[in-house]
Amino acid sequence: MAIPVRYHVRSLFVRRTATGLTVVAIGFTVFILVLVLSLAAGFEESLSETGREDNAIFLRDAAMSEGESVIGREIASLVEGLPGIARDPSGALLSCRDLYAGITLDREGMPPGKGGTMVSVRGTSPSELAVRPIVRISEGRMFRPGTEEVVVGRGLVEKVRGCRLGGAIDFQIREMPVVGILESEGGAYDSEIWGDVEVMMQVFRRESYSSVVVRLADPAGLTALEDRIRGDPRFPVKVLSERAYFRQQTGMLGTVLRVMAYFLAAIMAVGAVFGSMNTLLASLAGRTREIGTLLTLGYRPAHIRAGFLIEALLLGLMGGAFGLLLSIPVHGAAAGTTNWATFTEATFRFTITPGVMFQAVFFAAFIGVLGGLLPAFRAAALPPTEALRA
Amino acid sequence: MIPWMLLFAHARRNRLRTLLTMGSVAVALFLYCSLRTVVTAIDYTVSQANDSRLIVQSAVSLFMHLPIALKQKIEAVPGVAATTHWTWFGGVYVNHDMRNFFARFAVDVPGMRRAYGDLKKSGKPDISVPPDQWEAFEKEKGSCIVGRSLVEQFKDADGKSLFAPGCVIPLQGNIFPGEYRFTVRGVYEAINPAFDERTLFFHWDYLDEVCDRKGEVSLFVLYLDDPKSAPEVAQAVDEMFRSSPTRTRTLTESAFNLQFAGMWGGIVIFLSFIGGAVLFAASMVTLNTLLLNARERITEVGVLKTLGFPDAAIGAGSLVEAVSLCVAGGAAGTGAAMALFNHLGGGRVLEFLVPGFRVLPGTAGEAMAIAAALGVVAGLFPAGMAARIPLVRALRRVG
Repeated sequence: MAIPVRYHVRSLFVRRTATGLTVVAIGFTVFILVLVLSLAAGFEESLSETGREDNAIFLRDAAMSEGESVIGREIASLVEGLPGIARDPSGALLSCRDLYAGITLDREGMPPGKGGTMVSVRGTSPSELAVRPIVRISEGRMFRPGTEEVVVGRGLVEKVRGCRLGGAIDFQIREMPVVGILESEGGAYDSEIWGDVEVMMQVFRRESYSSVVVRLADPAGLTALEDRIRGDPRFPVKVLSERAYFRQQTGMLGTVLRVMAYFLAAIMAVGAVFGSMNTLLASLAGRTREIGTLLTLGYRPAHIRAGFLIEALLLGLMGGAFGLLLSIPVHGAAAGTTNWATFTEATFRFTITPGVMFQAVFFAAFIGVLGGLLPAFRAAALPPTEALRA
Repeated sequence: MIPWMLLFAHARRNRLRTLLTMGSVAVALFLYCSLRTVVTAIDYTVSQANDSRLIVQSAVSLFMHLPIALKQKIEAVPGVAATTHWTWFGGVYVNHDMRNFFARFAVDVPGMRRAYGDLKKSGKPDISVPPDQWEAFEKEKGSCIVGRSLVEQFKDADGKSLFAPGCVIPLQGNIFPGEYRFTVRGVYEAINPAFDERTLFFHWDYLDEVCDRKGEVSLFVLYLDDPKSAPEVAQAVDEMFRSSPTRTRTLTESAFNLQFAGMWGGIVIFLSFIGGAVLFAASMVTLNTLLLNARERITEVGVLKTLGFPDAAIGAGSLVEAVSLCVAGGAAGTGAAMALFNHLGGGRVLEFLVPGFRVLPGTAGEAMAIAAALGVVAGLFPAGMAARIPLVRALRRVG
């Protein structure tokens, strides 16, 4: 019969100062892991939610992102002539030709010309809303085609100068009035400025688009499109599903955040393991006589070992719970940095997903048990007679 | 009068505990140094900038090109000694894998040599290339020079570098569509530690000849006769193009680099926050150990008091012990960070993120000060407890 768990819980409670301090130390370690992982999760989620499986995006063959992609007008027309593209009820092709570029704008509250940030600009047409229904205009209205009006993403409002309803964006050659705020359920468009594609071509002095996005009549039609353009010299482009495209955009920053999370967590775990080991070793030293008594009562060394591991596990789990508790206020907080895939401002939210929580709890338990191994084996190795004499 | 001989007797008595405590302090300060170095390395690119250079970029966006025709007009501005230009090529090497990414620029080669590589003319060179390699590079239009880190990074199965002089590097253009092949004619080493050693430079003339986007450059670099004239020259250049379709924004090199530093945005604050949390967790571990120690030593404290040691001396003894424990741990952590990043090549691995990833002496000093402070904070409480405990209660445990 194993030692009752109540005994272990009480043991931790009796030494509450040491237990508390160790729980706090493990908790902070877990907190850091959750913080960085939720940042990565939020960033990845914001991008992967943006793309649709049944939208296909055409990019220049060697381009990784819209920022590097160049698609001339003739190629765009050829692409729109491909079979398998959906039409809306009125018979219009569900396709949009976009120009994607970056513009340097001042951050709100910073002196002009200092501390600017790169903001994504999308030259497009109102048909975009049909192809990308995730986007809606939450305030004001859509820009009118052919005019200098623009709409700005919710994530830029109050952060970048001019980005508010009734404001104006400084495109250097001209100021363009903001007539609406666009929202895409936390997706990547929340950090973009949209305007008319022809006007943007003039602003950026370009004669070509960056991408063509089409709605597929049949989501399975992507392979047919790939086969159609492969090896055809008239199509120096590649096609992929919009969802796959946005997932790719998380590349560098997503990886950096994850690597950072695991690097920090691994090193901090070492410190936390040291801490919990110290606590349990001290508890062992103070309880030698108790252990002797338990052994005399007939408990086996294996029970003692298991008991110490249970205490270690409890210590770890309490730390994990504390760490998660600490991170609750962070959930949903906005974060902003540059997405290195496009070198433009990306806004997203810390998102504590079930996956992040699971990793945190597992990590906490792991720290606890690892710290408990040595004390557990030492405790189990105590000779009963000497232990009683201590 | 502090019971000195007892100080280290304590530390030795429970060796494992002492080691574990020092270990957790070491871990915390190792992380502190690592995180802080991200910040200092970013700042470094700004502080190491050359004051006698100005950068002219498009006012609309860093990624919008300027016509090469501006060159002559800019050179005519009083105070400008010489100009050169850089063009971001982008492109793809082998595939889109992150490991295969490095910067590629089309440059005006003689101008680049004058502005960045010539010891005599530019005063403070940024890169060094053997003169015969410079000449070979200048002579051959389809050639390139590459940074030392690239030569070390890209090797074939036999360990032979794919970027050594004579090798051909295939690149697929995206911003400038097409297939490109460049022959390596030289390898540069960065003298300025903030200069990226993972870049490929090739001839802008060649790019302009073969691509369809003619006469475009990303930015101009101006050399000034006198660095003090920078604000006036910058203003004169921007004023000249204010009413043209290609407005410019002229910045000092440090302000230019600051744009990239600024891209890290919230990440820098975030890292500092993490650093704080790491130190807090370490202080909890240390405080815990010291409290455990103090509790086990109550009897000893009683004996010391009986022998006539004043309370203050006993408290000070505990404090000194705590501080030396933390400082020793801190030294181990800081030393490990410096060894890893500065000497064992750990900084090299991180160069794709920030060039010049080195733990600075200032950072190491900060870390040691923090370690000492940690010792004081974590030591005060147990020290106070040891000093304040009534003699009778302390001695009651004897037996």
